[in-house]
Amino acid sequence: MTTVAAAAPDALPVRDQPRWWRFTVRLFRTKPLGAAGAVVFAIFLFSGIFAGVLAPYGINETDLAHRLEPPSRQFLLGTDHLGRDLFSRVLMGARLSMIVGFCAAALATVVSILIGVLSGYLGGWFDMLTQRLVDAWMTFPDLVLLIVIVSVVGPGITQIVIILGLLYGIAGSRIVRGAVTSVREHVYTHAAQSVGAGTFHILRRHILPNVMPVVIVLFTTRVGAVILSEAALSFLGLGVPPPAPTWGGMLSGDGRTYLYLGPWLALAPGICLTVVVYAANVFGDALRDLLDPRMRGT
Amino acid sequence: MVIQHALKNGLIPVVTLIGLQAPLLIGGAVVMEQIFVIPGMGLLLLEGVYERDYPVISGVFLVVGVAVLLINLLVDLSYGWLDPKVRYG
Repeated sequence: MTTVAAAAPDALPVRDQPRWWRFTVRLFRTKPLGAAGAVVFAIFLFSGIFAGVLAPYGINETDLAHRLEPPSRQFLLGTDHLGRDLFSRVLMGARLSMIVGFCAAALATVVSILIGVLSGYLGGWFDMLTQRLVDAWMTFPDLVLLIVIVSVVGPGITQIVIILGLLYGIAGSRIVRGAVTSVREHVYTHAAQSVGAGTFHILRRHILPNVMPVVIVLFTTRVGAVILSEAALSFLGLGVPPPAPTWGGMLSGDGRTYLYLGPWLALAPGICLTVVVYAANVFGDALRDLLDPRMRGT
Repeated sequence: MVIQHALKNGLIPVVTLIGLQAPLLIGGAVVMEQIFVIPGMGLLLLEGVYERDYPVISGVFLVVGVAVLLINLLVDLSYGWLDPKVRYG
């Protein structure tokens, strides 16, 4: 007996690498496109964080001798009608987009968890009431709702983050609720209930860890959607007010006015926006396939 | 053959998607009307917002909400027409 017990631990494979590292390796092996999306997104994230160091000129630094110049060695992406360096402005635009994207997506996730977990776990009349309210909320088109709320509270980065967070949070609560209702019926949840565990304890120890994959996927896919919504709002002149360099604002303002004289003014922010949102979506899809295969195709 | 038997049954998921896409469509119309200066409801909404004309804003909002509801009602009713097995209690 003693020999068997002594031999058993050696038979187990040694796993010295941490879990996140093994997950990253798996992501790169099985989902190269998703991993590429993550890398591209990380590049934009870092250029947003270090925009102050990387930008060769100030964002509102005008140089009237070099107006509407095409991309050159001196001005990497050209200049606009006031002689402002477009490369610096696109970098700062990345910072704004990332701030809005991450803050609003984080707020949306928190709101989704709060509404979804409570509504899904408590059930009954509370679930009924909440879900009908969510239904009513989702009747209105996203963009129209955004425009109307912005018209009431006024444009600005804080307002945008809060509005986008609430908007996407309420819509996303449906997905979290769906996950919670399935976890609620698992045997371990019933076991915890039968030994008298409190509601909060069950939510924290049993429900939340098991809906985490859904929540992580929700967060990553929301980042792209939020960045796109912010760009649409700024494009309509209701986002972060100028002269702040937002990608959407650059597209609609100078980009459209000087489309024939300087197409690079619209191309640079447009391409950045497309690439970032595509990268975020591809990464989100890859994460979803790995973390939560049941959600595939939704 | 194909039209009679396959098309009707195959339309059900497509019709569901139409219902889900309706709000997106109206949101996109706002941006499109701004770009191409089409004097539609989206532009009306934007002008209302720029000029703080709240009755116009709430009017457009109401019409859009009712439109989305109607589209969803049509989608739900079309299930019964596409697939007679669906019954409304």
